[in-house]
Amino acid sequence: MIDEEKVILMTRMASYEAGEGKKNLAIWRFFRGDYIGLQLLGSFICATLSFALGVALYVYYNFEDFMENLYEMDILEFAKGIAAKYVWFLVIYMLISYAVFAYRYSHARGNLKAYYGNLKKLSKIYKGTGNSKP
Amino acid sequence: MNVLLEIRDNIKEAYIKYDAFINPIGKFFLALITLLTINSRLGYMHRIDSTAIVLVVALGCSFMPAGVIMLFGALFSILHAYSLSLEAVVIVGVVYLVLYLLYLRFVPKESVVIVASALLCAFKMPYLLPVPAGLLGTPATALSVGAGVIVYSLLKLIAKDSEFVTGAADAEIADKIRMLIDGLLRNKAMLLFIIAFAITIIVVYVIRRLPIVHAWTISVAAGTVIEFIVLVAGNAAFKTGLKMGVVFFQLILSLGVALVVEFFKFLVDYDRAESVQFEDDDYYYYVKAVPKIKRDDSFAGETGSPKKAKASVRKVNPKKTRSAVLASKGKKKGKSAAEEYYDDGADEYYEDEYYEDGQYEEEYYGDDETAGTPDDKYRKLF
Repeated sequence: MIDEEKVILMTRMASYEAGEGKKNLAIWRFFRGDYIGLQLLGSFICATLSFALGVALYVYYNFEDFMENLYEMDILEFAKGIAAKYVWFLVIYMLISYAVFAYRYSHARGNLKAYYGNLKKLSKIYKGTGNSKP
Repeated sequence: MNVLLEIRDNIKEAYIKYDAFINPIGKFFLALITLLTINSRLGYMHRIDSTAIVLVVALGCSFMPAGVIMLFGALFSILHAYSLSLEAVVIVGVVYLVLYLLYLRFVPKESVVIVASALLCAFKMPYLLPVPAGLLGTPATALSVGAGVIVYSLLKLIAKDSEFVTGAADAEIADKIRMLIDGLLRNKAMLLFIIAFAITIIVVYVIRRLPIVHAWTISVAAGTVIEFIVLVAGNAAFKTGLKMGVVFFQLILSLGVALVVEFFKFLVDYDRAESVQFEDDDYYYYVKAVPKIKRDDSFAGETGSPKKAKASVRKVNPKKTRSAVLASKGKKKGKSAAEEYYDDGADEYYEDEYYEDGQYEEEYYGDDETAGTPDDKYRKLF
């Protein structure tokens, strides 16, 4: 006889595993600190690259002015200004990244809790029937 | 109304049944329209400006994740920009790279929204998207719609009839880059669209999630009105030269689209809402349950009054009649005697519940599953 409860449970779990579960299981492989740390490292690289591209475009945009005033301008002050903007940009972007990935980790944890609860339920059903067939 | 509900349910059932075909066909047409639009507006590289290549690529996109459509769209536009000039490919490449590094790596699935936003801008219908996007998306969708507007504005700068192509052929490289950057950063219409669409999406999202009656309908109306007000105010302030007649007409269309989205996604009957309270060891619960309007629960015929909800009765361990058992004996010989019941010939099944105070209720479960409404139940109290 087919155990309807077992089939429903297994179908639900299989559907979760094929969809959202894939992403959540990939997240759950890491400890919270490791996962967020890894994502923040990626964010740091991306933010630095983007800022560098922005600065390059800005310099190219004002290339003629830079060439004319290169020997008169205070390069140290200019570099400090760029560095300050970089730090601000990085801090804001990292904060946003932290918030996003911390939320994703806790959201994945909540979903996986329900999934493991269903696994436990399924295990109890198997132990109760002593049969591996649905 | 019942006819509309039936049509809706039929569409939903058809989609569920045939989604393995519908999804690839949808992706194919989206990719086809995107690439054909890019080729028609840019078209500088003749090798890829070919219907055959577009068809092959679109066919490939139909079997891959939806984000691949944006990838190929970006690739096509970069190749056309490369054929045009070095400056164009630098600017287009930098904008795409920054878009990916700062935003798309968080939400790769939003690439479809970016493509839709850019396409609607290309077809001069950008005002259609924000209200439905607010109903279906999250506040992050505002960024996706804005990114689509930026992508469209950037590609418009290097389109065939643009000032960059027609007027800047003899300019220096630095001047060309300056022209492109100015064209993007000083584009007031683009800025107005980004602000108006972002405000609309956030307003629609916030209102539809409020625990108020008709939240979705209110959010659609409010979103449409706010989008109009912001566009009118922005047009006056920035002098962008928008045609208000076209804006108004498209906003009415957007209202219609949003109401259709609401009909499919969130149709409930607030008249039959129930509030319940209960508690467990940790919390008190105050719950409001609002039933969905389904085909059978819709308004009844000529009187116009809503039908009573039908209670479907589930038989609990139904007893088999003698005739049914005898009929089944021939098919399932392995049945034990314990599984066979013989009743007095009556088809009804009574379940008694005994209460400590001596009163009991008999509830009648008939064979007809539509029976069992409160009026039909038989009660005996003593």
